[in-house]
Amino acid sequence: MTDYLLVTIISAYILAIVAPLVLSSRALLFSALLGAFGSLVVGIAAVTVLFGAELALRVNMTAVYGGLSLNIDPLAAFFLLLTSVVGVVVSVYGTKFIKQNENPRRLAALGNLFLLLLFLIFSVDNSLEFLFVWEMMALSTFLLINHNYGDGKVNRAAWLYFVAAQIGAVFIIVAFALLYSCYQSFDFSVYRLALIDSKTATAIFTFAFIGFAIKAGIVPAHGWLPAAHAAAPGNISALLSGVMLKMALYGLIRFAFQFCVFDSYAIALVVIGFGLLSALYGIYSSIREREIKRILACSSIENMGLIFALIGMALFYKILGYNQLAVLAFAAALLHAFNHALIKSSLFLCASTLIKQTGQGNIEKLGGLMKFFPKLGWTFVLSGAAICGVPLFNCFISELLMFKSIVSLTTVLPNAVGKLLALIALFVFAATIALVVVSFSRLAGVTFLGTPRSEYPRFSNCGKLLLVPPQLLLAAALLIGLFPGAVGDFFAAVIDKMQLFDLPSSAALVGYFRLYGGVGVFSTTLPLLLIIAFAYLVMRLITRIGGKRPVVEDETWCCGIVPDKNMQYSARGIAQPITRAFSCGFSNRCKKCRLDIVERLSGWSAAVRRMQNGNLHEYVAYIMAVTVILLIVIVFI
Amino acid sequence: MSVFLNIVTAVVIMATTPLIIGIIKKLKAAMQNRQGFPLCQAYFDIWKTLHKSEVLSKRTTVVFRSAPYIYFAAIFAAAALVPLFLTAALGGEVFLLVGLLATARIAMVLAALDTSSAFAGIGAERELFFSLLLEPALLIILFSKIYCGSTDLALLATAQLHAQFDLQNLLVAIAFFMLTVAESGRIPVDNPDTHLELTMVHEAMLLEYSGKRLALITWAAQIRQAIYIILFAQIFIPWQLWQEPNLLGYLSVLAIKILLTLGLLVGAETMTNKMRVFRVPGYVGVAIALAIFSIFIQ
Repeated sequence: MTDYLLVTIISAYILAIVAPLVLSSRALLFSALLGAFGSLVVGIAAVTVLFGAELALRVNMTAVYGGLSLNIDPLAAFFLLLTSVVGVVVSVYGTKFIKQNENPRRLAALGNLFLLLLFLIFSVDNSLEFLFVWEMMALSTFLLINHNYGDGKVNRAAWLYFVAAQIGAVFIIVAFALLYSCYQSFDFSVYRLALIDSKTATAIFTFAFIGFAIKAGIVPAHGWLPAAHAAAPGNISALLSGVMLKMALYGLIRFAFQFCVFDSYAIALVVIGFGLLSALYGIYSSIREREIKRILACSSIENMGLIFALIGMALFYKILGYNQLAVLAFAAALLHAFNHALIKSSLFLCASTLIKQTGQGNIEKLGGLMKFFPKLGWTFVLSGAAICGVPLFNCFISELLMFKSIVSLTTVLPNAVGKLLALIALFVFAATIALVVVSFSRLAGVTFLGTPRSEYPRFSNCGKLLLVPPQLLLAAALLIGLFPGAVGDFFAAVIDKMQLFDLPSSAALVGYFRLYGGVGVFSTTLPLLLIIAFAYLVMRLITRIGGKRPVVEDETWCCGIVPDKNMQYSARGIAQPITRAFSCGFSNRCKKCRLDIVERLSGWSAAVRRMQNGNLHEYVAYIMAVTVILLIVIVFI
Repeated sequence: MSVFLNIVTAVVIMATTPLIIGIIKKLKAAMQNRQGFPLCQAYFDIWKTLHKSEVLSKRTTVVFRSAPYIYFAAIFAAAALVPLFLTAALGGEVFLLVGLLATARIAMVLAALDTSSAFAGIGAERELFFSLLLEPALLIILFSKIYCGSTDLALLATAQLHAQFDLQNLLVAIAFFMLTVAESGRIPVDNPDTHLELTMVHEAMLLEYSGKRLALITWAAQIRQAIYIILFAQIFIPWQLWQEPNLLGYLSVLAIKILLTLGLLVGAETMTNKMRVFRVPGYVGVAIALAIFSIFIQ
């Protein structure tokens, strides 16, 4: 039965890729629905693995597909579940969205190819196949980012992505090659035995970490990410941010907890350090951006940073032997990855609808959109609230777990080092979540509230198919936030099945997920809801005092002047005190605080290029200089 | 039904808050050789505002109109976590308190940006700027109290039963006091009493509100101040006396501690000048540094 699931998935996707290319553009709807169906079956397969009696689902389809062996283990199944949720929603969104783009048939085919590759990357069980799919993924992503290739910016972003992806791939290939040289095998199941000694494992993990960090956009290798996510078509940006970045996380977890087992915690501290750095720097750069999709992409850097820091903490606790805390940090990482996939996809889908409707994504020229698209507006504002970590939404739960795992750092190392570590981690974490509030209040406030800052074209009807998908994601996010107890049980079961830690995780986790002291699945958030309900009653009572009073609508008071659209605060203005106080310059071009390695490299290579200017006289001068230097060296040494 | 205790806490704080504000105003007037308002003036103000009719800007959307309710509900829920009676169902997770206060802040900032008024904009901008400094400071200062125990406010407060008033506790207390001054919008950081909108932070965001919505926001903002004051009294003033077994003794010690805090606040406000907005990072930095020192002293 399970073979049929896999065959169904692959054939649905292949049909969805071929249909728009071969048939007329009328097949677009068919293709998008097939993509959605394929993603749905991926979800079913993932749930089968996570809940089914059999833990591994090994299918060798040599006869049909020529040597492709797929094996979905619980870790892969978790990521497939995430892929499936986002994939279904984005495919449904695509039914209408793809038609609004140039060259829709190509976009539809490539989008479905991307979904197929996402499915394969999590389910292959062999390093050669993994690398093959990984490279195919880089190529298809390049084509997708470059979809509007007429635009020079888009072109540059796509190439930047491709170069970054290739550099990352080199490190990953080296890591796998080293593994092969240790085991003489390409099979993941052999690697899982983790027989190599600690030093070699550390070396291999270092390579893998660099490779996956580049793929995840960890600072300082993040330069490609905002550009690429902003350049891609809207539905693809949602997949890139929501799912593709998690691919790097998946690889990192495989290497950190399964393939390489090492006993020095220094490297875990490095992972934590890079994660925290990306978190802070990513969100800080988002408050300097003005393009809506770039802001969202910068926030993805931040979230990947938080997740990497959590993985680092899980590793740290595991190496020191605190399995209970390791499970806590690991669960927080997985939950945050899931939350980020839901919320960021929702935000990207809203943003792409908005850009299609208004014709631009520069928030300095938007404003007041809540009045034109109230439904889009509240979906966006609530998704923003969710990502800010407002209680009763999903990200609050994962941030709370992260807070707990940071605070526990001192119980592990009760000396000055531990205190210092916990302090730095806590400070960066707190500053990050405060900056997230700044960033999203600014984004939502400037885009959707206030007075319009430019003349909008006449809006077409937004359409349910563009609105419902992000709302579905938001609803899922809200469900996670409202029932953390059930989510905790689910995660405990899933992590137990992954068998990465030596202890049954349910014991470690359940207490942390039963958040507000409640017992039972439904009562975890019940106390808080009761208090809020009571607050509502109190408000009703208070406003009853004084009876019903007339409510008049009038102009905003602004010292007697009718406020102009230019008098309200701009996106730049809101960020100004922060950028000024932290003296990193006001402009986006501030060189001092650019951590971006890609920009640095291109700056250096420009300097080197100045030497190669094709001027014959200069080349003669170089030869002359070299001769003189050589003579001096020979004479004096 | 121990949630009941949470709700009772919130209601008690809500009901007594205008009185606390009245005491602060009265003490301040006394220090400035003035007669001052009656003690219950804050109640009268809210009562009067509730009887006013309301003007809403026609530029605003549902965000502006619903923000006061979200603001009030979030702060009411935050007040329910305060360890006034030392034990409750929602024990008072520190991070939940921070999250609820952040929710209130988001609601207010979005409402301010919704009015498209420049004054509200400057208030929102500064509120976000301060929040960026104050939120890490709050977490670090509380962390310096909790770093080897639970993150539960109620447990934190009961742990003070056996605390000594040593150098470490003194430093943290000073740090949290500085934070209380900043968060309650008092003089070195913000000035709610001026007639110039440009010098205000919190009040500038409310300029567009009137009538019942204004009453809700004013009351909630006062509760927010009271939360910090009570947290200071309960967690940062270790006082052996409150081991009194009977409720009356406990409450009177609590009242004395709160009065002491109010006196300190008024003193700080009267003796200092308002500082420039860009001096605030340094001010909060000092608070954070004190908390960090106290952690390493142990």
